[in-house]
Amino acid sequence: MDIKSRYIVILGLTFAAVSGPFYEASAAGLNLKNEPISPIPLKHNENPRIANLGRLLFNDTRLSANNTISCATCHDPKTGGVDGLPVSIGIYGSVGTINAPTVYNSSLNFVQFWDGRAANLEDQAGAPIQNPIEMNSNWDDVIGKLKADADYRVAFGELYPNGITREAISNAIATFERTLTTPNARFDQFLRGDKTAISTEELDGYLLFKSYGCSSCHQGAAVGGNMFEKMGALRDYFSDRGNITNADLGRFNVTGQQEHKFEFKVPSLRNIA
Amino acid sequence: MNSKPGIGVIPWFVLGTLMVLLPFLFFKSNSIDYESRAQFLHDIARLKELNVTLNEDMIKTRFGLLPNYDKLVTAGIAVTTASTILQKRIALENNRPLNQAWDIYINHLTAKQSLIENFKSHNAILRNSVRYLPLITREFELENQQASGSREHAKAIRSLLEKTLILNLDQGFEHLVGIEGLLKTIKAGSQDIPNRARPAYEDIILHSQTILTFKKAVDELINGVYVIPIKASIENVLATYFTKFNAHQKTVDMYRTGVFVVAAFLIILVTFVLYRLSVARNRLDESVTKLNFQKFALDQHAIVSIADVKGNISYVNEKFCAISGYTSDELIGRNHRIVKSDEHDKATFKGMWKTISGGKVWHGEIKNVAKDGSHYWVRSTIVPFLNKNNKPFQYVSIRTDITNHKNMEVDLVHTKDLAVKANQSKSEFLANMSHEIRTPMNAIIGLSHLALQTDLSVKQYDYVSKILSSSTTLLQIINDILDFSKIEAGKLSMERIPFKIDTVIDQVCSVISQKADEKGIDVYISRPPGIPMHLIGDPLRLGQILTNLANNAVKFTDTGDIVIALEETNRFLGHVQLRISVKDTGIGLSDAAQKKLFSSFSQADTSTTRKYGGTGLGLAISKSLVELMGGTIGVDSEQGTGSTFYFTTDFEISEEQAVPAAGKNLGIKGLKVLVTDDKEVARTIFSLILKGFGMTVKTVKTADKAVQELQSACHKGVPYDVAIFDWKMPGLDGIEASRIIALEPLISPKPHFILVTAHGREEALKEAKGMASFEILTKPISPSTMFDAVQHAMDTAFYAKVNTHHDLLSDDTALQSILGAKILIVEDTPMNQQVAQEFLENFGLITTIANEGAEALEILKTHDFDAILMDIQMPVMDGIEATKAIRKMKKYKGLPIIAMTAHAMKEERDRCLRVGMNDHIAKPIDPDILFRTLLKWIKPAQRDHTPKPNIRKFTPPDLLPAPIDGINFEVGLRHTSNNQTLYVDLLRQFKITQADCVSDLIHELHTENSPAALRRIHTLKGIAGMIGAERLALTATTLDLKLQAGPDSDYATALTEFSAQMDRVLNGLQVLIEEPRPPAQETTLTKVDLSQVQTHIDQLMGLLQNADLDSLQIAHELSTNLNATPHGDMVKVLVTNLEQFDFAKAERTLNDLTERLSKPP
Repeated sequence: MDIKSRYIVILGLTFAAVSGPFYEASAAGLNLKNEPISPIPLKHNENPRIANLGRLLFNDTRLSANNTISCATCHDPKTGGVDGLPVSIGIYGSVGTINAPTVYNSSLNFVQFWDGRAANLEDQAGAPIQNPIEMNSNWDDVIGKLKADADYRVAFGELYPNGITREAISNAIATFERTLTTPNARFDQFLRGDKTAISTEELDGYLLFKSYGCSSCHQGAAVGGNMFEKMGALRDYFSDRGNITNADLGRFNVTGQQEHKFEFKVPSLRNIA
Repeated sequence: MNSKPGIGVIPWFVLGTLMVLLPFLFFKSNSIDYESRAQFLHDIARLKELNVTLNEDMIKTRFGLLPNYDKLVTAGIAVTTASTILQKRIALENNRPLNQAWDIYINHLTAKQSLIENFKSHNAILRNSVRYLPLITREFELENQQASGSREHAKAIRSLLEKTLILNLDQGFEHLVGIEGLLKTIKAGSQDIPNRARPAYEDIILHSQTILTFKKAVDELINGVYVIPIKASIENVLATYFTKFNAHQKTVDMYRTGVFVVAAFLIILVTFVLYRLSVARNRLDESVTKLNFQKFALDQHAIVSIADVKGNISYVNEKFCAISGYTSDELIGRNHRIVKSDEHDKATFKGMWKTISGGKVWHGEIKNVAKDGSHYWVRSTIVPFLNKNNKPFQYVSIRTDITNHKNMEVDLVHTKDLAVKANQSKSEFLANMSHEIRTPMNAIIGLSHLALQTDLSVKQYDYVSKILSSSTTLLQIINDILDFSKIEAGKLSMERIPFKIDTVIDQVCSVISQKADEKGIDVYISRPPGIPMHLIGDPLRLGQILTNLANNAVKFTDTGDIVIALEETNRFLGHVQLRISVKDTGIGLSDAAQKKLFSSFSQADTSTTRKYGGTGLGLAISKSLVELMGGTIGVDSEQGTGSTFYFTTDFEISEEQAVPAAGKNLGIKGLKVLVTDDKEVARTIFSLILKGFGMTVKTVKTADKAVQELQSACHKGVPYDVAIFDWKMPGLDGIEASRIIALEPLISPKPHFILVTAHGREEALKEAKGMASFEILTKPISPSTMFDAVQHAMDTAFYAKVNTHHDLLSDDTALQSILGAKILIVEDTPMNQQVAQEFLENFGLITTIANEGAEALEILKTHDFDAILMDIQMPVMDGIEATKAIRKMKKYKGLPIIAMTAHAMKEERDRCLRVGMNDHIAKPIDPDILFRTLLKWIKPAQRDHTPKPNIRKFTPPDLLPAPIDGINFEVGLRHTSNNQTLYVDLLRQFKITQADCVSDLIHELHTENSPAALRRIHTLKGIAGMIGAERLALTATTLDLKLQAGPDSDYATALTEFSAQMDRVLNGLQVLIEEPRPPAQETTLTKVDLSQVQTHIDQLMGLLQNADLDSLQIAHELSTNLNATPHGDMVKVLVTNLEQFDFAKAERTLNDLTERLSKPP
């Protein structure tokens, strides 16, 4: 089967499917199959002991050069996984360049950072530690400090064949972060079939959300976070806004391709209320 | 076992290497991880599948089959994850082409993912517009309807919606032109759109256009994804992987082959090793079998045991058990001491242990004790077996039973002891024999000498002289036998004393010259003057050898000559090697005879012995003596032509080398000499000697030529100083030549004339009497005699004195110096006492007799002596003890003591000298040696001496008549010990008794009384020889031989010659007969001196009991005294008894006489 014929088959199949939501929406019906938004999985399969180790590390200020900053400093799970500041304050009071994203449901992001420079949470975990204006430390120091702690030595020794290493630390933190999801929201319950979980207004809003095309980008379990999109898809956002910073270049900073200028990860719309 | 069984080092090494190689190869051959390969293939398949899924999800997403991007993202992540896993796997492969292929894939994947990301963004916008467009279209329609807008517009916009939505889902862009046209139309009529509907209208335009744009972009992106040959790149990775894998598999196959090869090799090697081991084992088995056989063989012969280092027995064989009487159970585990006997001392075993513990093999003979206590002897060899550290760990003893052997050995030792004792007895016997035989020989010879000096009848004289010559011969034979015994016993040792070689040769010549003379053989001495005169060695033995050879030469030569030649063959460091030869022209020797010639008791053949006599020991003794001198002896001979016996010896050259003759005597050097001799050898030797003196020599063959030469020399003015002529020459003889020369006026000045003769000196003198003046030189001629002759000839014009025998006994000066010296003779044998006494008193010395040592010491207390002659073996006190005692007497420290002994051995002599004696003379006593020895030791002084009246004083020379034709006074005097009175008496008696000899003989022959004739001629032969009637003796001998041959033989010529010689001698003796005989002693006694008679009788009784021959003399004296008495007859009977040596009868007769004398008349 060549590509062309396969294309025709797929096209034929999808015709009916695409027309589905179209008519569904118009009917404001209750058929919840093929919703652009998926419920957050109720369970995760992470190792609880590793996750616990990751939690300790996440809150451990020894990851920073002067033992003042921990991951939780800017991504405090108690405060929605963020610091609540427009841009974060790092070590020695350093002022960051961007807004701290929430750690909740961060595992649902297909890449990390706004510009997607980290492919996963493991990759992401090391970056703030070494960032001079964030934790300003390095792996050797961090490993040295952690090895001095007998509890860590025991914990790592039990969980990782090589004990305290960069990979192990990153993995533990990422594992902990993957447990930080917010499942079973009322909307999720709705999506799972409980038509009473949301109000009529909320349902209307959802229908509008879909019919106005919001869900074109904000879809999936995280209601976003699984694609890049140009800020100002139809109109030029940054030209209108002005005062363009380097960070505004977005994904361009990662790929160096002109077409990726001003592209950012589509933010998750979960828990934003 | 000569070849080492088993496996060498190399196979083991190879085996080891292979064993190491095998696991390595095995590991390599198993390095293909099929699980990994399967996993890889699975991963690749999964990757392909995931990529397809990703594409599908992308298409599904595009066409809205998926409500959100979660699935697409998951698919993307799945691809990424799968890629990461595979990448890790590929990284492990570490293969460059694979990595490159992978990199291509990753690039494609990255591009794809990038396209997908773009697709997501673009698709979201497209979707957004696609979703919103119907909504806004309805809103426009509502607004337009409400504002009563144009229906046309609404229719167009509706159409736009439819067309746009179709376009969105359409694969191609065939609707695009229609839509764009529709848009243009709508835009163109937009001014008709009510204001109310205008915002919607503008959104519709915007979204429509967005759909147009993004539909195109999305489709392009999807196409782009599909265009990327990601599947191909994955397959490329797979293909590369396969390539790599196959290559690896090839390598692995190679290793597998390697494994197989190595394994095969190992199997072969192991098989080989096993084979070798099996062969080695077979050989080992064979060796063991052989060893067992050898052990069996050894066990059959030897007594074998094995013991550990402590000597504890670990193995014994049956023989051991058999000989020791123990069973092997009793022996094993026990110490070897179980069979130890007490025969050997501790040191023996200590030595044995030291040897074997040192790893060496010990041999020895050991006496062991068996269980039953009996002893046995074994010859044992103990071999230590060494471990790697060369320390013994066990000892193997191999023994042979030598008990019988040992017993035999004991017997042998016993037998040997007996033999040695027997041999010692023999030696002692010989030594005793030497003494025992020499003592009576001394008496016989000495008394014979003395007897010849007394008044004897011709018959008696003949007998006694025969006794003397026979005794001398006997003594010579005894000496030979003794010498030989001594040589055999290794007891003969050589002296090293200085001597003159010429003296030895002269002595030899004087010994043989008489016989040579008798046979008419010339003896020449060839001694080159360069040979050192004074040597150090054993002159006696040298003389003995030479005498032996020379005697043989004379004995076996009938005509021709004998040359005694000296030759210097080598000289080194004060030594000279001489080759001394004796050449004769005798019967010669066959080759076979030459070979056995020098062995004992051997002559050329037995017939030779019969013909020539002799002990056959001479050459054997000579050979031994030469060898003792460190030389060799040999013979060159040709049968019938002659022999040359030669020997070589080394001598040390004496320090006191004589001043060269030429320097010693002035005047003879440079003299001109003419030698005339018909014999070549004589000319050569004389020439050699004379040239040695520094003379100018010319030789000629005949006297005629000599005369001519002398004339010619005088004519030339270079006359000869000396002319030497041989007497007997063909043609003109020497004496005639001397006459001619004396009378020849052309020869002037006359040369000094020397006549050389091998014949009687007296004959020559007689021949030449009053004719000429010349010196007579008798052959053999040595350089010294030649020198003397030349010197005398030059010194004296006339010198014809018969004095070439330069005898000390006639040396007045020498004699004078010791005349009257007092000599103590210490000697137990009366006869020897008498001999010594008479010899000494004949020299005018005064003697005292002591019978043994103690007596001598007594005498010495009261009397002084000038010398002592000391016998060695004596009763009471022997000579050695006596000498020691004498030397202890202060007074006699320097008294010369001269040993007289029959022990001629050097050891005996040395013993004498050690105890303090000064010299030694051997019995029988040679008067000459005795005199020389005394002269040497007695201090010259003027002493009173009164010779005993009954002892004949040394006869003054004037008693002799003028030379008598046919009689050699010299010979005669020698036979009578220079007793001239006796000699003259003998000559006189000869004249008287033999006057009728010839006529009697002829008568006897005619009456065929041959025994009487033979007796007569035989007797005469002896007497003639004794008185020096040499020619007569010779003719007598010839006649004797003829007569012996038988009555029919032709003796006429011999008889004629004999008769002529007899007449010649008798005529010559005529001069003596006129002389009155010395007044005979008064024999008639008026009165019988009874006391003297009694003394004689007593004396006689003693002598008779001793069977002493002296008794005869006493008996004669008794006879003289009693002749006139009535007892005369009885005394005559007594004398007759004694003459018959019947001492027993004589004793009885004497007893009768005494009885009769004791009775009163």
